[in-house]
Amino acid sequence: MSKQVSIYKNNVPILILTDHQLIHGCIKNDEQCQRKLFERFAGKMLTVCLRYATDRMEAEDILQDAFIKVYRNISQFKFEGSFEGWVRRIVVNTALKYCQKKRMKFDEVKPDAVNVGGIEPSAYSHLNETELMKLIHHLPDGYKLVFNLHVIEGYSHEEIAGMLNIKDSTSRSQLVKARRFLQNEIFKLQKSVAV
Amino acid sequence: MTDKLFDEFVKSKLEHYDSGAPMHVWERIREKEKDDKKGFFFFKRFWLTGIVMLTLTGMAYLTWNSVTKNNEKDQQVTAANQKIKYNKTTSVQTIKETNSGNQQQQSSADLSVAENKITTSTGTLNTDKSNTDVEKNFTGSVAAHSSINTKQRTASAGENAALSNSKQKSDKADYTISQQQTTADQQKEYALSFTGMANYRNSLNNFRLGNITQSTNRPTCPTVNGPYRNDLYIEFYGSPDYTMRSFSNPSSLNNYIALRRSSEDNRNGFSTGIRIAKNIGEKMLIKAGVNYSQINERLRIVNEKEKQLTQIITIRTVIRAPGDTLFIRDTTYFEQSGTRYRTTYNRYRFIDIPLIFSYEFGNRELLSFSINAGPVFNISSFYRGEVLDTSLSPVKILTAKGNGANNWRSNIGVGIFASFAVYKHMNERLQIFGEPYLRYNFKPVTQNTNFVNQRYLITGMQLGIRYNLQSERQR
Repeated sequence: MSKQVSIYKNNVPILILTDHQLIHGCIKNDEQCQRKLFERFAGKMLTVCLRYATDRMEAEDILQDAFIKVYRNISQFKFEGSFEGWVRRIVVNTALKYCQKKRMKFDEVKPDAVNVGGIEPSAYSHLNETELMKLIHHLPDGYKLVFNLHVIEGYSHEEIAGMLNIKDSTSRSQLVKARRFLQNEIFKLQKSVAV
Repeated sequence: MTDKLFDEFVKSKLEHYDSGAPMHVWERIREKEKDDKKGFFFFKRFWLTGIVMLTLTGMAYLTWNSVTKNNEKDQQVTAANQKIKYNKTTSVQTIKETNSGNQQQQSSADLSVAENKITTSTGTLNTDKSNTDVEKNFTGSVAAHSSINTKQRTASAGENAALSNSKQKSDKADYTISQQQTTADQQKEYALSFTGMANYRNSLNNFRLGNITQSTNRPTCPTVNGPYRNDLYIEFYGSPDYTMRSFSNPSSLNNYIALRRSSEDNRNGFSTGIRIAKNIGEKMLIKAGVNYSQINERLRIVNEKEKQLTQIITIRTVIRAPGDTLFIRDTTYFEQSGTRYRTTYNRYRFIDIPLIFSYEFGNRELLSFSINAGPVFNISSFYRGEVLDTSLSPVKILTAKGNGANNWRSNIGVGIFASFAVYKHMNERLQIFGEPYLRYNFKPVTQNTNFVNQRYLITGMQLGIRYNLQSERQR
């Protein structure tokens, strides 16, 4: 909470705000503060949305809805823990609602598509964020949800089961399969680069 | 490689990865916030609107109920007044006095006027003024009687010019009072008459409290047709509409529908119309008219792979020698790739003929309610705008047959309409009304042969005026 944000007028900083002041400004519906808050977190949160959405357009819709919720409920933030974590939770929940609207199925992927075999860290260490995002984007819906929630957001299988209304075991199996699917894709990518 | 290592790698790469803040989303948020503030009441807070509507309906019902109770009270008060009138008449008539003085004559005349006025006023009690007159007269007569002594007096009250009623004129009271009674009897009678008058004054005070409105005091006159009224209304109304869209589609097109939903925003709509309402019984009405409604939507398309090709032609002139000029034409192409945002505002318009059956209840002269339902016949439907086809390209909406996503119906057939209306009566002919309603068309706007069927459920709040074309005599 020690970061500072500057408010500019004609490209000249006129006010430097701490996170605390920024949140208080948003509570008072100060448009400048809301904009600054958006500028600060929108990039990271768009990444979150892109991981759950089917395309960029949907991701932007999720981001829009999530930020509206943030502005409306910011007074409920207790200044305990990370504000970014609080915003991220709202974004993830909004994304999950979008996914539930689509009546996502936790399908099994054909066995031949999953090549269970370990790959060396050297095989994926060269991957950048964009490539990783693309790989995750190609995961089947059920795999993608569980993988994102467990690996990146850090939710436990019990929590995921509660959020997605599935069994713990389903969450676990979907995660294993998602991991294998990704590793398989990385392996294919590695092979194509080698050729 | 362990799974844990892989997970940590992915997390470290993506947890804090910044895709760049899309500032156009900020603009959309601002726009949406403004829209929400504008449409707070009718559009965006439907639950709240529902609660408000229920509260208003409840209040209206309570008001109506209390008015009915007041009417009952009025009737009781009138009955009490009639009782008082008879008591008073009896007690006053027993005072057989002979009055020789002018003042006494005047007071007797006043008394007669008062008596006559009571007879008429207890029947109708139309205005406070007449009540006040009656009260004044009684005050005068009481003062006069208090000065009466035991001497024999004869008084002949003259004709009362103030009487307007011809019947009353013919019955002009000629109070020839022959005083033959003892003081004790007179005092007893005075006491009785004072009690009667005091009661009467109390009842008059009740009338003056202002708790009874003029309209509720007015007796309901039966119409020429008895209970069957002959009302003929013309209604003008307008309504902000909230539309809910539904798709029925094969599951294979779920992704397409999801994209349609995410790319098209509901921008709400409106409807307006005129209709005639005619009584077909005591409480039933039939309504028919013309209704125009418009649904607004916004299509936003983001093309992340938009490519723009720019051709640049450069012509140079080189003069090598007099008469030897060389033109050099260079053609280059410049390709720009980026994200393109495209917004189209769609308008779906419908002209319908509603045929509504209405059951009306409540106080016809103050606040009344109606429950309405009936079919709505579509006359014409026309559209302007674009939708995404299954290849996710925007295509113009056409009113044509065929199985393209853009082929929509020019007539959506029969729908159903239901509403609840509250009427506030402004005067004997004019009423204003509020009518929350719901309309649903069974047929989709898209052609049957289309991949998806798109339907609309429209809700709104009609606000309007209603004018009775029949005068009170014609009803």
